[in-house]
Amino acid sequence: MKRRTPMNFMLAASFMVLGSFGHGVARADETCMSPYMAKIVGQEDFVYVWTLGQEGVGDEQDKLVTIDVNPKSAKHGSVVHTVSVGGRNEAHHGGFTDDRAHFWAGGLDTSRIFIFDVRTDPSKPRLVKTIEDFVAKSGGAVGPHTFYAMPGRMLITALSNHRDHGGRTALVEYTNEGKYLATYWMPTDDNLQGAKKAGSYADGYGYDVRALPRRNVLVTSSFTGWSNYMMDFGKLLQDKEAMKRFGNTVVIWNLHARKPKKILDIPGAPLEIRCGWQPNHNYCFTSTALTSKIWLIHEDAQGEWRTQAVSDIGDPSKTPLPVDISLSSEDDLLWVDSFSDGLVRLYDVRDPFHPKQIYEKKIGAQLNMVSQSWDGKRLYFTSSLLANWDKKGADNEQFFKAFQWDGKQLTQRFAIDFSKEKLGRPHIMRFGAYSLYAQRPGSESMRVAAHGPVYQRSAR
Amino acid sequence: MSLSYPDAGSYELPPLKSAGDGEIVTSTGTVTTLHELYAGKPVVLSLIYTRCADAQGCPWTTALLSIARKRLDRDEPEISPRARFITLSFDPKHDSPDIMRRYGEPFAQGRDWVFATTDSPAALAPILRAYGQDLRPDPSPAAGAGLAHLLRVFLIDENQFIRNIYGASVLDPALLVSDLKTLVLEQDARLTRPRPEKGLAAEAELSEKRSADLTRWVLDPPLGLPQAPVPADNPLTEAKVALGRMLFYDRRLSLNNTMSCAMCHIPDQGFTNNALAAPAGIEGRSVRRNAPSLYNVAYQEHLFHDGRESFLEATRWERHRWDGCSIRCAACRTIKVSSSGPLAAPRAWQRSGRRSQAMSAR
Repeated sequence: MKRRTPMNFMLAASFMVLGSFGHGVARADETCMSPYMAKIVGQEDFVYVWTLGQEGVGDEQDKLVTIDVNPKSAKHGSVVHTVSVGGRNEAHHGGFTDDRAHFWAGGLDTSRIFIFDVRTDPSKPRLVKTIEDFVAKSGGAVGPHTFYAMPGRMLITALSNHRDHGGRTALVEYTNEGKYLATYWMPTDDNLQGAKKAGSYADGYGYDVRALPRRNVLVTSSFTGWSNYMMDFGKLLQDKEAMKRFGNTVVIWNLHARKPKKILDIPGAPLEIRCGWQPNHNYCFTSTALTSKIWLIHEDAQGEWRTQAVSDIGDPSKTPLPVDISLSSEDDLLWVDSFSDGLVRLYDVRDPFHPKQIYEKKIGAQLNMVSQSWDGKRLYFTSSLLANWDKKGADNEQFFKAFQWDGKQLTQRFAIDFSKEKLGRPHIMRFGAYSLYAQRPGSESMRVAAHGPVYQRSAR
Repeated sequence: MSLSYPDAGSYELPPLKSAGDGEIVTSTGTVTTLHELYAGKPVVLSLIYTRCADAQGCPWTTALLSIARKRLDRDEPEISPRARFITLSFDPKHDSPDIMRRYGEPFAQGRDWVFATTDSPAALAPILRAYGQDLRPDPSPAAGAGLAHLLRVFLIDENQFIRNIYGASVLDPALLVSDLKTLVLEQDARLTRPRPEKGLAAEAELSEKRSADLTRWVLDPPLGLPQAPVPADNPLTEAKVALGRMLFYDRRLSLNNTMSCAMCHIPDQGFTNNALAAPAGIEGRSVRRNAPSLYNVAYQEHLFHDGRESFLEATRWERHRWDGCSIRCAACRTIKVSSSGPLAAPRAWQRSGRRSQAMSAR
């Protein structure tokens, strides 16, 4: 119910005031991260790349690689720092705390969590803490994946469990200080935990998580367990039993209570979730790795959450294996990376029910993550999927590539060969900037803002 | 479309950490401490500065808190007097007690809402640290000489534990009222502090739950099974059974502290792996054979698919590659670990010949 209240007036007034700042309001994180987080709305100085160590390459260890990406910097386009963590852990995803003081990075194999200080010197992240007891503390969650900032705490999705190392798993919550808080198991047929099973599946699998605070909703997706993601990809494809064990669900949660509300079918391993930023865009996109489709997860006029396949990605029969997506801050463009064909495809998603592909470009022999600046002008790509799923031989290209998007085409700014530089397999990318930490107070090119008020529609 | 918030008391607010203390000055000029002000009540603490020009920042926060305060009075007359609001300035150079009084009056209107500041930046510093409040000069021209800060509001329980933290985008008066009510209900019900549920058993629980059964099975075998052989030089004890159980689940018995016996010989799946034709070894290196079930392994004379070993102690270890060992444990004559293929043994064991001492559960 919508009523004209002082809140509405205040909201209108606040937008007017913000307009005068001349910086605009950050409606998206630069890489579509948590809405609770401080943001870089101008030029980023660094891209941090959580990189998986590779046998026979450099020190063979997982490492956080810092790349200078500011065109005004003398070191633009080069690796300015690396910090190795002492072994290989199947480095995969990571994320900042809400104040961006620390970067948390996980190991899918060893379940270790590495916490880096990126505030003291954004150009030289420092490993300050390693959480070794994630499995025991969480009561059996294995493979910390997405690190999603909540106010003062970190919400972590796991991919597997200690009991059978399959796909049943949990959300685990820590404070920013690294103290374990709680575990929320994904709902399964055995224990729906009060959630409504809307389709055929309640597999209890997990992968990514995103919050829509304005709807009091969390959305989680599903992938596969340790015994599959650690397996050689070629062998996995031949193993019929193993291939049955992929997630087919997304779950809608009550954000505040951290309780599952509804389990929806999205067959074929729905991976990354990106939710709309505009105040009335109550939907999220995901892409399915095995069935190669874009799906829309949306709230209908009656307040029910639904799912709908809205587009194929390439030719699904050729298994392009879409792995990462990135939604622009205006919710109008969706970039989709696919691993097998090494292509990035761009979709016009102004009508979220009818995405239209408007552009594509081959980035490399294999392709995984994509991140964009909040203004959508700079895109960054990395190559590695998982140690045992990456291509072999000459196709095992390992790179970080920076591109400029001019509205019509991508132009490469620079590339770093992670094999030649003896770094390893680059995976997730997150941005850093001096402006976040008052390191260069003279700089006026950037402004940090918490995400704006989003509760204007709640009944008061 | 209304939001579906959970009912007060139907959810948990796990304690995040202790709420820090510090000396402050209230708008009436009284010198006191945060902890004295907390006074055994649920508290909503907001950190602001009065010059804040960001309409999405401090003024917005204070307005939302004002709505929450009014709602408490209107909708929760029982709860309202038991909750205290505190708004503390982090700009002591400008925000004097008198400025805080003038700032706060229109909002407080006689309600339990304390507006306060600190005597000096030195007095403020420990509070900022305790609550993780970052400040920096705001470089944007519109902010003037403003302070950029990540907006934070804290919910603190009567025992001075922080129970929730709100950023700008989660500060909803309805939620705040619900959370305060949850704390009051909890206080009234004298609930013990909520503990996280454990969905799947951790290794300690697993071992505790089953070790006693194993001993009994050896001493008093199930119908149809003979007495399990026990090595003459390694008699059965409860302690050895417990140790064998722990070792079976211990991820540290591998090169990267990740692989345990139970990862391929999954108890829930008959001590083998039903999900994979051949299980994944260390760092995913696939093994060629499936993991044999360990059921009744105590009676086996030969270990591995090819029966090449009889005892754990007889197996050879190689760097990065070992194809099996058995733990001489009390409950079973041997527990086999691994199928043939590369698995994971700690380096120390590989280098030295001491692994049999390490692995023998004595």
